[in-house]
Amino acid sequence: MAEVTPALAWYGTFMVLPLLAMIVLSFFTWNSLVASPKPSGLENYRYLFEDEILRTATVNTIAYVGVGLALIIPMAFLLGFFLSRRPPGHAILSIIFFTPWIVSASARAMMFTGLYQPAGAVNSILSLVGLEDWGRLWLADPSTALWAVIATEAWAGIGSTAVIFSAALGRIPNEVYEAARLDGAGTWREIVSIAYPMSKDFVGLMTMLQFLWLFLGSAGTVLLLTKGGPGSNTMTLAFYLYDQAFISGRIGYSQAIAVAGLAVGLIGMGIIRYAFRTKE
Amino acid sequence: MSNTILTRPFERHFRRGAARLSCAAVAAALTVAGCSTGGGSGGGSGGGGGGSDGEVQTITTLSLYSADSGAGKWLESVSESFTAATGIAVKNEFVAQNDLPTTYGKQVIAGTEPDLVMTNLVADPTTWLENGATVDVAGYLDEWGLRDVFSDNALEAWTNAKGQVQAFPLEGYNWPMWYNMDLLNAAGIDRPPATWDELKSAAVALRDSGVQPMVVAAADYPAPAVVTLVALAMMSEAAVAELFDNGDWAGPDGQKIVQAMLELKQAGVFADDSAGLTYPDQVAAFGAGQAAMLFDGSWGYGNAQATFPDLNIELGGFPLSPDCPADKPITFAGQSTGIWISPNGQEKIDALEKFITHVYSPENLAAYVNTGFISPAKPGYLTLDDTTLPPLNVASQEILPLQTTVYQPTYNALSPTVTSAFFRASTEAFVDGTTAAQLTQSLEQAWQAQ
Repeated sequence: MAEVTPALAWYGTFMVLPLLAMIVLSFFTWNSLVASPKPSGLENYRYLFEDEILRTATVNTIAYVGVGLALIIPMAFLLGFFLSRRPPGHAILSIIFFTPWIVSASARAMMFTGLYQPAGAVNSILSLVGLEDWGRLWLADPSTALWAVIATEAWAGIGSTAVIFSAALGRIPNEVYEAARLDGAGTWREIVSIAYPMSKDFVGLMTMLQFLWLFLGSAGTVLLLTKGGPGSNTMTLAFYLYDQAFISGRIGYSQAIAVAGLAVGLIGMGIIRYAFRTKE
Repeated sequence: MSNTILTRPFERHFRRGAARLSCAAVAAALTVAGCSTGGGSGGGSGGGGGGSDGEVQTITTLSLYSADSGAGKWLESVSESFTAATGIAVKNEFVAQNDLPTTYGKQVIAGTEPDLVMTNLVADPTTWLENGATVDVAGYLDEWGLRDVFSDNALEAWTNAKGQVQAFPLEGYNWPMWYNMDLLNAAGIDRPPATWDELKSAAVALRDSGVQPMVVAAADYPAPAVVTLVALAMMSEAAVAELFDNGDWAGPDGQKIVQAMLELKQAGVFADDSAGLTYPDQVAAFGAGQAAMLFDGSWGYGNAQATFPDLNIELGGFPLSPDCPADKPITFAGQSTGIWISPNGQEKIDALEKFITHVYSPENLAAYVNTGFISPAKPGYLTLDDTTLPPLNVASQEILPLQTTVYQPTYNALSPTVTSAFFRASTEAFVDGTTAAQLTQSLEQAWQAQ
């Protein structure tokens, strides 16, 4: 016991206590950092069910995470498989694929703001190929804003996840693929029947990490690109938490959102874990 | 020094202590979360000054200016001259406006806030005085002989419902329409539009001549400003204030404004792509002659002089709708930055008296105004050099009070819980295809938490 006491103390002080503080604060009305928190019972939780922006944020978050995962994980897996087969130039390709991950969020936001702005690259390219009617204000149009933000996440996530997948898939012995090919298996069969089953637990792990990144990290991307607008069209739970805590000055309510978000996060992780469970 | 002032340090220690106890009761872990309960007594410790008034070595400030801006350089210059005269150092910290309330709030909780803070009276700062994060300066205005420095409008803007003065006014502003007369003339228009019919006709004529009409940075803070401007061009200030108080956007007045925004949008009044533009974009578009009309404040006069001095710009108001009770086009004016005294600052009030009176000496305040700002002082207090002020600055102060109906931006009175959502909702008014129902829903949502 004595050996683990320092670790427990560290964990309790820096991990558990802030979590408890978050839960306790959610039962207070605290409308400015300089104001004194006042107990308000379950009022913040009651308001969670009345809050129309929160409802929009929840729907957006489901789309954000769902579409983000649906784009990133399969695409990354396929790219990872391709890289794991060590094609010519795979080392350079790996660096190129991984680069978006090491671009800072601010730089990425600046890049995509430039791409999406009214006279930006996307609209210019559409005009060049005769599709100027398709041009639009990608971040300001309610019908495209959320998808435009998700696209930036996909751009950052697919390549880097692919490189990580390639490392895992590279551990599958070559003999397994060779045996399959002798039995007439094509590339698609190798992916479906060999690569995926033999790395399913790793795919589950990466899906969980991407889920957490998309779910919690959307606050930064949304802040830099749209601030939740236009209207609430790009509002996500994570950004709404930030908005309520630091912009709107509703600190107690933001903590109730955080507690609800924690619950949603745990449920999401449970679902992913179940979906990618492997038989021992 | 009055008895009231003598008791303030005790009072603020009590308040701060109570706040800390509350924090402690909430959770001891707040030391980690940023709400430190373990700071010192706070007495005289803020900002590195320390000790009694007679021993003060340093005054600290926190301001929304950037260090390399005209205002930032002025503050450093005034601080240096103050230090040379008194031996008291002034340490200036510069923080982006959006981050300043959070920065200051954390410092207040920790008891380490600067002695003076310079920012605007919007959103979170509107709660500072009532929460003891800053102090009422009404008494100091009289004691230090500064009450007669300021215009009545400036003092009124900084006085709350209890008669407390929240800060010393430093910067006023006006916020008119800018008309590029060369572009209007080229489109066959010889004067700025005064009615909505003229505005719509002008939009058609300008578009026919290959120029965008009114450019609006609707992805930025001008969006709610223009929505408010349109509202005030339709109905009385009291009616708009009532709507902004109750948020009944589905009601008759709210719907009038929603319909009007969409009507102006559909008439082509707002430049294409406005919904995607930020403030620098709108200024660049106007400066490059791509748009003929702009709604921009006095903070843009200096940049206009520097970057597009040759444009033939006429300042005026936003045109009136047929039902508007005002008889002259609409502009905004008000007070932006003020100098607030913190609880830590109050503990070295004698040193602050020297610094504040130094800042508000006619020559130092004139130096500030001469960098391009609108003076908060009474007429006659300052001797300004009209030859160095941006021409638009000079023209605005001559023309706008006479030729326009001047309102304070009604949305400044919104609570912080509404402000950011209103900003987001306003953007939708400039998006192609937005329906009245969508805009109404977004605006109603913005007010739901009030």
